[in-house]
This record gives sequence, structure tokens and C-alpha cells, in this order.
Amino acid sequence: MRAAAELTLLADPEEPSAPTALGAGFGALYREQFALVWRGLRRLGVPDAVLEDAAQDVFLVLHRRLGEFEARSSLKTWLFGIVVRVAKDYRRSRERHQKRVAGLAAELEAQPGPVRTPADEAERREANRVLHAVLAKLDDEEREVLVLVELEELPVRDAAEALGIRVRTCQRRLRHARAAFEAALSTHLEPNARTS
Amino acid sequence: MKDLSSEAQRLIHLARGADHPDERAVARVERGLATRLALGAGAAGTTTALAASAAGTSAPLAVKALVTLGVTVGLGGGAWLGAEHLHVDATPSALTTSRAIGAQPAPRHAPRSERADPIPLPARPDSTEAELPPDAPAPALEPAPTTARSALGADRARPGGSTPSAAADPTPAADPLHAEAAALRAAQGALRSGDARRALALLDEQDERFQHGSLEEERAAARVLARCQAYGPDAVRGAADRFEQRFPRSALLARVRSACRDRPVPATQESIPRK
Repeated sequence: MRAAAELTLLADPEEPSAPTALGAGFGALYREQFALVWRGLRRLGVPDAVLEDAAQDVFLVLHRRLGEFEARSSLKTWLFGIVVRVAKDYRRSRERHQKRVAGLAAELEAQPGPVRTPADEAERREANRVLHAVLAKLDDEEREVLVLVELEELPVRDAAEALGIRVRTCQRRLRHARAAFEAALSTHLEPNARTS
Repeated sequence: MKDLSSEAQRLIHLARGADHPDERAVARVERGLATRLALGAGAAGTTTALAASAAGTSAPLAVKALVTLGVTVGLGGGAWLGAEHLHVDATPSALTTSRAIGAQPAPRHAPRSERADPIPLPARPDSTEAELPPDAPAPALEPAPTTARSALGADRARPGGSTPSAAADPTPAADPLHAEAAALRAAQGALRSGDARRALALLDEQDERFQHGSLEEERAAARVLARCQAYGPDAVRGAADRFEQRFPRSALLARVRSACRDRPVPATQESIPRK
């Protein structure tokens, strides 16, 4: 499978690879997967203030568990299983200890709009801002399945594996998540439409 | 199954390519991760992989990868450094490691102590791991070795009993942090192999060599643990207090305080002259 081949390649001392603080092999894996981990954590509701700590934790777990990866699933699916759990722990932590902090939705909605940039970039930023505001209104289970299937484009079967749930449960959650997303999006856009 | 509306799909399509980390974040997390690994936070996984390799089992390809990686990253360096309490929160966060390597800390970062509950690597009764079905992919958190001694034992099981050393570390020595971390790992290696006196000598040497280094706090913690191994817990209590006075907010404080709690007095205690 592709993932196993990647890992073999990473372990090949003959394979030239840019040296990093993590060493060539794990460093290459880190560089390759960092963006996926980063956006996954962010979209799963990890606040910006602790995003780098959470990313470190994901790769720490990855490093510790890499020996157990047997390519039953793709590396992306497996990695997302770690991302989902780390994000969940960070969210729980925040709920327990940072109740004084305003909700992520309010925080995001309070952010200034996009600065002047080329039109397509501005549109993408605005879309991302709206996306995060809407995702923040979903409950954890809905957000997780929606991020994995709709944003990361994992097949439902892989998303179920990453989430540790049955495929049918995943399908049901996805159905609810889509409905909740549509409702939250409408709610988000309505007041904005009235003010514009 | 009903798909999303075209409006929602368009939003997702537009946003899909966003959320890219900038290179500075990639580098900051990488340095922090490297430091945490060097200090032993990833030791458990590495020893597992190495043990599997040593046992000649048909290890998965990833294990082979990790055997190489283990040497590259210079892990196992801190297996003894609090393996009893191997816990992410007790290791430097992105912020503290940024400080350790002399980089500017990310201003939007809150210190980990201000952040919420830590992410415990060992499985907890209330962790999500308990909720997983048996056939789940199980990338969840793994218990650390239950004692420092077990971590030590696993490490000693390696062929030849060798430990990662500065000489074996292929990371660029030109980076002062790499050199300092490699030296620290050498001291840790000495301690793991039971040679606490050599570990103390190496730490003395490093204090002189890296007078303005980034890992002073980590060396001080290592020194307490080395003294514990050499002289027994009674000799360490004052040292632990001094460590706390010097580094009252150290993430290693809990490790230093608990390191010698259950460790028996070494048989060689009487034969080792007290400093």
C-alpha cells in the first residue's frame, strides 16, 4: 500500500532527504503531514492559542505509535484518528478550564474581515472564516464527521475507521451533521444578509 | 444520503484550500517536537520498536522505519527522565521549547500552565480510548512504562546495550542546540546504563561547555536524577529543593520531585564518595 511504501522509503538511509531537527526520516514524514494535521486540528475546534502545542502532541503520539501502523488503513486515515483524539482532549480541556473564554464562534465572528487582497484570495479567506464560524456551532460528533468527509474528502468507511465507529453510525452522523451544517450556515448568513 | 446544498458545497470548496500553516509555525513546532523527543517524551514507542526488532519478530515495515528513526532522532534520551510520569504536560510545550532554543516564542501562545488540562499520554480510565471498539485503528494514547526501571530494562534489552550518543547522532552538529542536546543525551545514556558517576561528570563538563546554553534547566533536572541514582533519595531532597528555587515554574519540577520517591537505595551507595 502507498502508506507502507512511504514509510519504507523514509527509512531508507540511501534516500536523500533534507536534514531537519527531527532527523531525515521522521522529519520528512513531519513535513509531509504537517499541513493536514494543522488544518485538521483547527477545523476540529482547537483554539489558535494552543494549536502548536496540539500539533506537537499529534506528532508525539505519531512517533510513539508509528511502529504499530500496519497499513490496514491509509496513513491519512490513521493520522486523522490521532488528530481527532488530540483535538477532543484539547476541546475537553478548554471546556473544563477555560469557561471564562468566549466561545469560538463569537471569537471568530468578531474577527475583522479580510484585508484587501486579490479577489479570489479574499473570497477564500472569507469562506474559511464563515466555515470556521459555522463549524464552531456544530457539536463535536457532527464537526468531526463533517471535517473528515466533506473537507478532507475521506470515504465514509475511512472516516468511520478514524473515528472508531461503525460505518452505519458514521453515515447517520454524517446525515445529521450535514443538516446541522446547513442550518447553522443559514443562521449565520441571514443576519449578515440583512445588514449588507 | 442527501448531499449538502450547492451553497454549502461552494463554501466548503472555497475553504478547502485554506488553513495552511505558515513556515514559521512548521519550524517552531518541529523544533519543539525535536526537543521533547530528545528529552524522552517519545522514548516508550521507540523502545517498543527496538525491542521488536531485537526480538527478530516479523515487524511491520513501519517498525523498520522507526528503528532508523530512533537513532536519527536520538531517542531514548530521556527514558529515565520521569518515565514514571511520562506525560505531555511535563514536557516542554511549544512555548517553553521555543524559549529553550532561543527562538522568539509565539506571542499568541499561552503558557501551558495557563492552558487547560494536559494531554496525558498514558491511557486514563476516562479517556476516549476506553470508548473505542476492539477493531478501532487505535492510534490513541499509550501507557508509558510503569516505572523508570522498566524503561531502563527495555532499553538495556537492545543489542549490545548501546545507547544513543552524540557520536551516533547524525543531526547537524553545527546547530548549538543539536550539540547541546546530543551532549545531554550522552549523559542520559550514561545514567541509563547505570553509570551515574559518569553522568554527573558529563553534566559538569556540559555546564562548563554550554555556560550560556539553552538546556541548563534540563541539565539541572538530570543532575538531580543522577545524584538520586548515585547516592539514593535522601541525598536528593535538598537538590530537588534547590532545583525548585532555581526553576520554580519548570515543567520538569514534578519529575524531579517524584523521581526518587520509590527508588531503592543503590547497592553501590556506600562505595560512592559523596560530593
